[in-house]
Amino acid sequence: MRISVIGILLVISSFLQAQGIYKTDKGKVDFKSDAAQELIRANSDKLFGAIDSEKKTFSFVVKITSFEGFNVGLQKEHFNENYMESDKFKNASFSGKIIEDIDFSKPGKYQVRAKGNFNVHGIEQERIIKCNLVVTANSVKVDTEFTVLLDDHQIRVPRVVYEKVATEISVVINAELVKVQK
Amino acid sequence: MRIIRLLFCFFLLCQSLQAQSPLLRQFLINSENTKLKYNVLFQDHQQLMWIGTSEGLYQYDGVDFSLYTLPGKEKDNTVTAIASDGNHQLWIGYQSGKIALLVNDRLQLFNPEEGLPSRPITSITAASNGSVWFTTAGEGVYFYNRKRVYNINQDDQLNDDYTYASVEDKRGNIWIGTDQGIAICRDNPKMKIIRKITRDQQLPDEIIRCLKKDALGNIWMGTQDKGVCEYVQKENRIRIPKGFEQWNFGQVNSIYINGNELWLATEKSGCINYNPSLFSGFRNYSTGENFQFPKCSDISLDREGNVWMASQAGLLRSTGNGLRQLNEIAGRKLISIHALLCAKNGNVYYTPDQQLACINGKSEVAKEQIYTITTPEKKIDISSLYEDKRGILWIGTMGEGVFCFDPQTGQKIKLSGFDELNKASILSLAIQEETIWITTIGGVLQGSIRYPQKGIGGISIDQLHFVKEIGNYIVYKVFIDSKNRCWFASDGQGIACYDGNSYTIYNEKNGLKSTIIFGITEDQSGTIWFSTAEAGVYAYDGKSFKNYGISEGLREHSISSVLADKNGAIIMVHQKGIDVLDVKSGRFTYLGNEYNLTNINPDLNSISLDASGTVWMGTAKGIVLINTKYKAVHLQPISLIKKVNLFGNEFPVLSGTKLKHDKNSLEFQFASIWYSDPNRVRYRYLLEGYSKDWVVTKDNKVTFPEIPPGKYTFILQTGLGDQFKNVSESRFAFEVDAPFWEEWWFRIPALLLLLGGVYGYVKWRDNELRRYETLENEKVKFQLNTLKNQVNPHFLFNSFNTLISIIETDPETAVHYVENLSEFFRNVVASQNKDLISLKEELEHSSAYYFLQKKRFGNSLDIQFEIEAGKEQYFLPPLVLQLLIENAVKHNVCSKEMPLSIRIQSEENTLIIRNNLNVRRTAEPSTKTGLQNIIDRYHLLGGYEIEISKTETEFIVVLPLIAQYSA
Repeated sequence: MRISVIGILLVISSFLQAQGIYKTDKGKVDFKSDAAQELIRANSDKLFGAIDSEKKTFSFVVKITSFEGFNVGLQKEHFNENYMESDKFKNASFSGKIIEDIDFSKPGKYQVRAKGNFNVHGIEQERIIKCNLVVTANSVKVDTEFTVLLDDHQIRVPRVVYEKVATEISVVINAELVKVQK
Repeated sequence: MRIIRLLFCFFLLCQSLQAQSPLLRQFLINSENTKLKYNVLFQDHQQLMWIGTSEGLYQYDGVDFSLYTLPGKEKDNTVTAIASDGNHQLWIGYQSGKIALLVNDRLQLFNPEEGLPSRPITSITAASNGSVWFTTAGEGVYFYNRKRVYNINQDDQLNDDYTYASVEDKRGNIWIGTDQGIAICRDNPKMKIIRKITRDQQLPDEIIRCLKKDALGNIWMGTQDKGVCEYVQKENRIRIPKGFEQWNFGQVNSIYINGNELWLATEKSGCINYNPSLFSGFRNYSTGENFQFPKCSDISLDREGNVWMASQAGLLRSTGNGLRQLNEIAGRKLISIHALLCAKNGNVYYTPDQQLACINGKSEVAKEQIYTITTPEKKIDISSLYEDKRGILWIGTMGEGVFCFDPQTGQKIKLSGFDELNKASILSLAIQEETIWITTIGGVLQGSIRYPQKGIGGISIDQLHFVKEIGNYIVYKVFIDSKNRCWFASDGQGIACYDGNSYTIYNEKNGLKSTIIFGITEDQSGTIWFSTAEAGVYAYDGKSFKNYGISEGLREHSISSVLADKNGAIIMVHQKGIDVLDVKSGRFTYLGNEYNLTNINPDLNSISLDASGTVWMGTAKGIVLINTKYKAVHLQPISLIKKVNLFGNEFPVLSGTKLKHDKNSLEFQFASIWYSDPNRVRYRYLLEGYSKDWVVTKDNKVTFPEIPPGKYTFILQTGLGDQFKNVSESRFAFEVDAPFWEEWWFRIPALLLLLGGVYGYVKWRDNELRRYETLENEKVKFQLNTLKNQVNPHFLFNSFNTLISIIETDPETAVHYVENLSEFFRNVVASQNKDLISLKEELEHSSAYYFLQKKRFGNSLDIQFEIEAGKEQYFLPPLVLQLLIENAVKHNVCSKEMPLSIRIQSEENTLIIRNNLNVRRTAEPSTKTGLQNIIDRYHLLGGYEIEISKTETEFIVVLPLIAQYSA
């Protein structure tokens, strides 16, 4: 799995060779687990992302350990060690291609669907994620909201915390990708 | 929702119908909107038709079109795909890429987290495993499975992102038609495409526009340019059907497979029918009488056998191969056909306008061949045609004799040598082995035929004679059955049967209601059917006669022709059209006005069955063809309760609903699915629990206002005409709640409460009266006692003694004393009728008494009043104070050494009267009723209690002060 992450990074670095690349390394990821007995929120502002506006391909990666927040410190520990196994599966990533044929040279607001492979906990799922883009001359703002099912990614939650961890995690992403100047 | 009535359209159509081919009927949703595009057709599980148009989704029930539009501000309502899944859930795809679901009779946008396509949805397929597939023009394919939407496009190696069609094969794989051939897909995100079929695999054309699966599991593909091909599952190969090698009809937009025939909607040639068993090649439908439709976007057949086309000329209904009409051939109108015969070789002989003509029944474009019987100028009235076993045509005429015609050589001869034959008006003829039977208006002629070795040149007839056993009546028909018996239909003598030995005649003695017999036929079970002039049709199974008349559902008594076909149907022809009986179900199907089949004036017995099972009928207006294989005749209209609305509002009610007692006005909207002839449909309904009478109506709704509480079932039946025997029924049960005051759980306690109330009131009233009575008694007693006391001798004696002692010494005081004495008595008398007097009055009254006693006892008696301000307004029974003072004086020593001190003081709501105790040794005689009287009176005044207590030094009485006094 580490190989695939390296692969993604390689892909991203290869993006950098091309023209029309937008990138960021401080995108925001928030997630929320709204269970019957507990609401858990955590966020990271270390989302790495790149979009190739010509090929309409994209790639986003975030380190699992970069998530902060949680209700208590122990929760973060559980999150990393028990559920996400972040020593084994260091990153969550989503990379693929935008379905719609949009023109990044025209500033404006677009709603697009990003089709790609979504990798969390080492399990890859094909997903289509609906995103709002705000394209300006030098940047692309991405915001989106989607859900991740623990089941889809074989994230096992012990029976005792069933009531405290939601089976469906909602994720919000806000990132501003800036055009790479040659 | 907007319901667009077709009335206006119908009026327009009625005008044109006379002229236009009645077998292709045009339905316009909105005759004013000529730009309306009819894109797709779909029939749901209830047989309701759904039409996807450029204006939105329409539902059509045979009578009304109802529009369904997307919620909100969706601008583009152009429907491009309709499908239904295993739960009968309707899925609608739009040109805008939107997808909607029909939920509770409303459209609802399908809104997955993944978003919706932005390109047109070209097809929807609901797979048997629950996944739903959407093909798009430009974004590839989407599938929705377990609440997630996945995409398959060129990034996944899909042939092309332009996809047009989808179908599920026998293995559960989904075939996708694209611009670059076929992709066979699975709903597995890890392995989406299993296989591709392209030109390399013998696909005739790479652009696949439509897909259909047939009953064998083979997949039929409609292409853009090369017509149709078929994937044969067993052989795992692509097959191009015979006749499709050359295709000139343009892009195939839709395929409908109906048994062994194909119906194709094409882009530039309207609709194409391919039916190898009925005709060789293709039959093309692209023109109506006054409209054309080179573009046909979708095609579908209903269960009745009607073919529906979504075309640029609107929604079109054709009777397909179930019912066809041949009114003209090569521009020549076919009229007055008196005889018609389907020959074994597929040729059909008929007699338009006193000529003999022939067409090939299997040719898609009829080419007529006219034969000359005698000379080209001479027209002969041919009344009957018969084909013998040698394939020789026998032609019977009206007064011109009998001709033999050999179609193979074109040779024809006239039978000669018999005067009877030349003069006879021949009605029918038949050949049994070597015997010829000729029925005429004067009886039946029988003769023996002598055939030559070859050709027809030497055919001659011997021993021609009238059959005596039948007599010289009109005999309309001779029929030879499968048991080689001869049947004769006579005018007025019933039906005769000759079994080779003897004649048996069946008439009124056998229970026949009519002895004028027109036609005879035999069905596949060997039952002989014959039609009559007055009693419909009889079926004779060798034992008994079964009659089918008007009460069995036939429209007419007088049936000119009858014919049994190969599918278990009996075709009956009469003035009003054609009635088809399905023998097994006993049901009739009527073909009449709707198909311009009234007054077709069919001649007797100009009806014949061809090898394909098609019944041909010669009529005054042309030839009518019926094939019950393609026209379901065993069906009945389906009753459908479409909507139940409360108070006529759009508030749908579900079956089994309980309604509130004040929400009880229901409107039932219903339909009868009978697309063949919606005007014939009659409804019959009954609200069980409300009425016991069925109501027969043509209206498709009914309102029941203010239904009283109870359980009801609305029963709807539909029939064709007035017969409602074994018809389809639809039920809707509901309940109207009783209002709470009509419920037992309310009524019983309420009744008990009421009874209790009445009882309580009576009891209270009784008590009150009794109390009042007692009070009155007590008052009287008290007054009596008071009077007794006051006028008791001691009091008077003492008073007078006092008076004597002062009268001389102090006359003024004496006068004053007498005044007080008289006031005292006046007070006693004045207050005797009152229950209560105010404390103020009582104090005034008692002051007179106090003066009298003071005069008597001087300083030995001391009475002090300590009344708080305001307390004087309180009430107490009259003379009570006086009585207590009197009691104190009566029971205690009152002297200078031991003075009697009485204190009357108010304390809160009581009046306390206390006196020191100096008990007399010789008390004045006491009636002992004084205190008891006071106690009783207070009690009666409303349960007041007085306190009487005695300490060592004091005697204390506490009287309650009564705040309010109501007289």
